[in-house]
Amino acid sequence: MNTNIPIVQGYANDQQYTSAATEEYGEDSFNGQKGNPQPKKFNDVFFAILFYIHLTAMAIALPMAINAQDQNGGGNSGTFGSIIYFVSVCSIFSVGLSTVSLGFMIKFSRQLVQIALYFYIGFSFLLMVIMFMAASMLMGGLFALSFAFSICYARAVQSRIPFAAANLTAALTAVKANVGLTMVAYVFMFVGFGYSIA
Amino acid sequence: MTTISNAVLNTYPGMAFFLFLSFYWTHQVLKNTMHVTTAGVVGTWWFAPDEASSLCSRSIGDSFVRATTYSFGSICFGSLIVALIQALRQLNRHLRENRDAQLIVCLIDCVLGCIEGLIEYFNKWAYVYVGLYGYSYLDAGRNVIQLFQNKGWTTLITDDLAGMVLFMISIMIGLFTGLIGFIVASLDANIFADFNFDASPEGVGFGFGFLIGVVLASIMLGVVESAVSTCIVCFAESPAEFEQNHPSLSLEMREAWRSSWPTECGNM
Repeated sequence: MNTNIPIVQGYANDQQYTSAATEEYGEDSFNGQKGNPQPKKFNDVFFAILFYIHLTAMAIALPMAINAQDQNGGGNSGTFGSIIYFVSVCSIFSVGLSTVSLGFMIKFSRQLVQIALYFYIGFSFLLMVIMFMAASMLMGGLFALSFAFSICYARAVQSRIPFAAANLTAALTAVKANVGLTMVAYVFMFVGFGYSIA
Repeated sequence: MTTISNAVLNTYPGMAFFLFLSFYWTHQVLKNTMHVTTAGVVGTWWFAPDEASSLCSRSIGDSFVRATTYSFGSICFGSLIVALIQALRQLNRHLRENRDAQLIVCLIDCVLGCIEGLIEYFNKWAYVYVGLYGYSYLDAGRNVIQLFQNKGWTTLITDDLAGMVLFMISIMIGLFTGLIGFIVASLDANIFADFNFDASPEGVGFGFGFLIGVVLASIMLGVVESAVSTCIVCFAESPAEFEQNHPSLSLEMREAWRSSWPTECGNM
């Protein structure tokens, strides 16, 4: 069995392709050990079972606790219509803008990495000023250190920007090609939000 | 959950710890399941783009199913470690209200915070291997150590720079959404009337809008962040497949690699 077959969760690509890329980096210089194909099996089953047991316990305990809390009074009966309208408008705008920003980031990834470095410096500087103005000397000093570090960091990584930008472009292209992934992420967010409220 | 935890904390600290643990564990599991799903989809896009190039491509469903079945135990394992530390920190924070031994409590919080950050960072990479290859958690961990032994600084810097861009963009989206919130609140002055806020409705509208914008943008950009980590691992392991399947992106990356590390390229 060829142990160097790249595999993506069950999809084995057995076409061993030697290219300019391989020759350029060299298998040994850039690559570590390639991931090996794993047989389809349930890993770390004990922890999955433990998680389900804990969920079951919570499903029994939480309603009891909530009922006990309701008996103690409380309960907010305000009109939420206007708030729902507000949240909907903001959410639709934010999701739309986030989707548009994917294309924008692909087009200007290199410039954005550069700007982000300046943004980080500016952000540290702003926090430092705010902390000193609020007479919090310890926090102000820490943000002054962070400010100095961000300047040194920005200078040190200048030559790495093209690679980081190219990597970001590749990642954004992958996400843009599978935008459905973000829908799954929003579903997860709602589940998490619901659990937090409970 | 947190309200109940606060009420229980004073009378039953042990039970409060388990409530915190449950809260953090579930959130970590949700977050990491999404991360593993993204790694699977981006990996499929890397190796077999035909399977992962549409709005609702088959790879999304397949990766999700694998993350919630075969790899779910590994997700729960790593998530539990982080959740344990988070729950301990939460308990420790409540101890801060007690005036005794403030310095020790502060030191413990600091040490736990560092451990939490390290394990979360480790998990981020481990789950890329789980999503890509279906490793168990410990085997994925071994691969992460190997990755950092081979390309530690490259990985750190590339990941960090991309993270900075995503943070900046989410703040920008937050500001624009805040502006929309400001406009909506100024059109209807009674929108927050039921909530008795001290600030002006426009200010509250901007604040809430900003929060909604940052949270929703962070979710989408969180997916991009997972994709960035996956691309770093895939590029370290399989540049040839990338060139075969995505020639223009591969060329761009190779040129960038050459300009970022001219000495290493020159020595080859």
